[in-house]
Amino acid sequence: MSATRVLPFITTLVMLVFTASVLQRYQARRKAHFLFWGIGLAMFGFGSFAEAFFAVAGWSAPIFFGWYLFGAALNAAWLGHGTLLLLNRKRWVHVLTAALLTGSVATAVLMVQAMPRIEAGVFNPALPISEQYGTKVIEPGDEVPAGAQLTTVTYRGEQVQVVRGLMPLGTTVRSVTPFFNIYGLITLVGGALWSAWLFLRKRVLPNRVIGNVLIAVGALVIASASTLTRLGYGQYLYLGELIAATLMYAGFVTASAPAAEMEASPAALPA
Amino acid sequence: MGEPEERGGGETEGRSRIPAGSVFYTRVVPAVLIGLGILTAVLIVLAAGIALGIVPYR
Repeated sequence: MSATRVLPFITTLVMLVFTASVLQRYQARRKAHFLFWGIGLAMFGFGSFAEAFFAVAGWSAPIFFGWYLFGAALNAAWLGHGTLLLLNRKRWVHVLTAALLTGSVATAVLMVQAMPRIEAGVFNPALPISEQYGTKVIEPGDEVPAGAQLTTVTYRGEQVQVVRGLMPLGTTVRSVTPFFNIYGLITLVGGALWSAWLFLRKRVLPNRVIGNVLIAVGALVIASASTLTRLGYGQYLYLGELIAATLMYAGFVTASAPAAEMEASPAALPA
Repeated sequence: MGEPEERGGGETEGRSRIPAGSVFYTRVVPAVLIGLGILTAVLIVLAAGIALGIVPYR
């Protein structure tokens, strides 16, 4: 097994510890933001667990369902919404909570509808799932990856040559994923940067400044890796996940340091 | 996170403070925050382009 394929195992362990820490806080304080962070982190962890699973056990349709729904589509939005709940308790945030819950259920339904169209025969256990989940159109001049399965399909009325992936062209659930990720990016990273700025401006709690910066950097790393994956460069995803998990957990621990004498939050915790 | 600070300046008393003459906190961290903000904006625009079909991803 290559070094790259080992990364999801480490990421899964980091996320397990991270998720447990946040859910323990929810259990102790019963604040909604801890619950959303805990669920979002569990989703992130399931994504890396699925990647580890594919590396050792091969194809599984239910695991792929969870990998895409939780690991690719929903986790950033749930993490970011936790931050929003911490920073803003006005009524319109509850409207967004309802929208997130409804959107998550709708996305799960879209994923259920997509599953019968998944081309499991394309799965290659030697490749990371991030490099084979999407069907890619080959444009003139494009380099075709070694071992790729080429075929010609009709898409939107035209014949196109594609590298076959697990999810066929035009799979609806893929079109909604960016909206969740944009929301998660704005709220998670924006919340962390805003929090860091507040503490910096007040000139207090330097550990919270650094903690929120680490969380923002970690979130940006995974956002960048995910965007590259979406654009067809999936080879960076596993490394990006490990770096992001490590930085965000380090940020959480730093922001929660006892010296701060105040409630630790991932968004604060963070952010 | 930032919530306790907004309830009143008195709440910041007794907490660890950022050193007044620290170059790290007066120059480096603000520059990092600005850089991260710019990167965030770039990623949002890129992701919006993907969502709206302007940036091809298929």
